Amino acid sequence: MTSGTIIETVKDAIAVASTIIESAEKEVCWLVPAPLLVLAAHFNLNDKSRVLIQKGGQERGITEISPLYIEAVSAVIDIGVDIRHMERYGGTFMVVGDGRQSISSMDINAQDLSLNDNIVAFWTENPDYAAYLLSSFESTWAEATNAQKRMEELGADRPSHL
Amino acid sequence: MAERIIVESLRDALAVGSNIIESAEKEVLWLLEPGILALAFQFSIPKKSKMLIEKGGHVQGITKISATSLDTVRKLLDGGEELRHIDQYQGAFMLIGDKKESISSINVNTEFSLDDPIVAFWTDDQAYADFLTATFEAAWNEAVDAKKRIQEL
Repeated sequence: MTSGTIIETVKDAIAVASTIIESAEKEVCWLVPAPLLVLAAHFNLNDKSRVLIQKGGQERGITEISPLYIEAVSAVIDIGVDIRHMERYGGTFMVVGDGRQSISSMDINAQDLSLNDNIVAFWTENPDYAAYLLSSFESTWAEATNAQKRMEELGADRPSHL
Repeated sequence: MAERIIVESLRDALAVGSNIIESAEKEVLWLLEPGILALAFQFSIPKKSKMLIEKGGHVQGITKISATSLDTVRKLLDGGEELRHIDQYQGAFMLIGDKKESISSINVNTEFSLDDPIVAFWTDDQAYADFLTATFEAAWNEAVDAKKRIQEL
């Protein structure tokens, strides 16, 4: 049984993430570098997240909230995504939908990605792998800082729905 | 069918890593934090790598080489491991045996002690090993030869 597919470009990884969010019915969890959030917004992933949340689904995300990316993070918070901040977060990323479908990468240079960059990411529907990613996510979530608190630290305006 | 197990402590992850090296016949690839490398000596893991190399196997590793990790890196080089340095690396780790069995973690923390809880994934899934190997090779191509890095330091 083939259990996964290697994804080789940022553009394709975003397309896969879009599909994962679109097909999720209950919950999406993600850990993504802030530059990728900006790229994802250009591909309308925020709209997909909005639809999921409007249908009663839940979305939680962890990223490094810095002054440069407050606008991108605020846009996601305004949709209703529950966001936390992780200090000194490196380049790895993951998106997990309904504890089943996932895309993830251990690319250690992923912090500086642009759309046409090559990456190495793994797309799978293996529930054991999703369980591992979710366990990692929960561990990081527990250590991460509430987005509102982080925005206050940065002196940013409070997003409208917090 | 491939086995897939979540490993929840660094101690267990090192034990799994040790077993992967012991059962490898041709090649071991690793990407590890210097802190984990230092702990690996407590599990005699470098000795297992040396045995693999003496039997004709090959070990390639990537880590962040700094003044504090020089002794550890030199010992591994003396054992015959081929090492490279990467600057921006933090947190995630992987170890792959014969491009088949692996243990890896997408962990974002950079400080480890032996009894710390972690979340790592141990599997002999071929597709996952291929993904890790491709990730390792991409990092290897961008990394700096260890001897050059040591001279810089």
